[in-house]
Amino acid sequence: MRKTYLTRRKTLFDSPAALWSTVVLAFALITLLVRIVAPGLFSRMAAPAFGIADALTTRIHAFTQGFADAAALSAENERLVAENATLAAENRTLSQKATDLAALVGSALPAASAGITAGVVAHPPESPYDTFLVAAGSDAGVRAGYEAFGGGGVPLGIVSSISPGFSRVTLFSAPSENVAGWVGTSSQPVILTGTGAGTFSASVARSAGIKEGDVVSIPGPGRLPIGVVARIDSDPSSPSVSLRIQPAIDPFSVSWVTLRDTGATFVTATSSAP
Amino acid sequence: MTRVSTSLGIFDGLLVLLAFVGVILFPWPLVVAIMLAGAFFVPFLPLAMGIFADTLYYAPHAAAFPYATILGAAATGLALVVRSRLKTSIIRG
Repeated sequence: MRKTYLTRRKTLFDSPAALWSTVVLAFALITLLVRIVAPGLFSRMAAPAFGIADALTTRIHAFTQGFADAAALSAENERLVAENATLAAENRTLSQKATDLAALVGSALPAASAGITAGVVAHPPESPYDTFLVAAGSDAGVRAGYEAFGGGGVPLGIVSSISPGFSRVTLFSAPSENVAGWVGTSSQPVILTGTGAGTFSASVARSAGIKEGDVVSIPGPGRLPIGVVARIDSDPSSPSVSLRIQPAIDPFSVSWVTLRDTGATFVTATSSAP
Repeated sequence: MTRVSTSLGIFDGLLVLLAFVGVILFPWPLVVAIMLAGAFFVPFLPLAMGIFADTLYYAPHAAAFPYATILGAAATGLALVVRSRLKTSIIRG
């Protein structure tokens, strides 16, 4: 009986499977140990690999895009150039208005609002969770609770952990995240629930009159657009409707973010104070 | 026989390398496919890949549990069961 058992064990863990199993487990555990004991060193070691991954993804994307219809791409390009010019003009107008208002009320934006610009070294879909790894940490002045913004000031997430050279940003769209915001022209308050890959869901009263294409925003300072209503799921027997919200910018293609304090760190500090 | 074992060892090594590089370079659905394929040859590969992925990407605020490690452990358990059935059956050559 004993002999049979040993034979069975031997066949289960024969070479080279046993050898490679030992090697891969040892490697994974050593990597985990390095992250726990020396997170800064780990981030520095991992950064080149993430940089290569990011560059490779960009090249593959550019290569595959080359097969698309050239005429359609040209038309799309013209449309985007025109839209860009319009938005730039609108942006200048709004900036001027903001400057005038700041002068009128006698206060300007605090210096910290300029933020810390950081490159994204890992983002979805390489990351199985809705997180970014960005190349700015406590050495650059980043603190846990700082908010991350993408191009155009679109809020993306919150810095959840930091090391001297790097920070992890948990996106608002992470499956366990909830964030308060508004939807539609009537500014209906909603709780946005992250559903992964940059998307959200929310529930709102049917009588609110929300329609597809309505803008969804969250507190910033001010109201900052975070996405648009892409689909409305309606059950006739329910007084509310479910909103499926697409992000304002695709988190898969974000390569730079701005990190700044929006008051979340102050709220955390005061709520944890005795 | 020795030549067969050596080639199998090299194949397993390449598979392991592809799996770990894939965690960094490839989208996670592709990594899961590689992991499941690799589990037939190196049963502890899914668990190691799960630990490695969570080491790289897991943030406590993003998820309540390190799902990659849990899924890797489950896949490893499944692979061990399947291997034990195949290796000890009368079908083996």
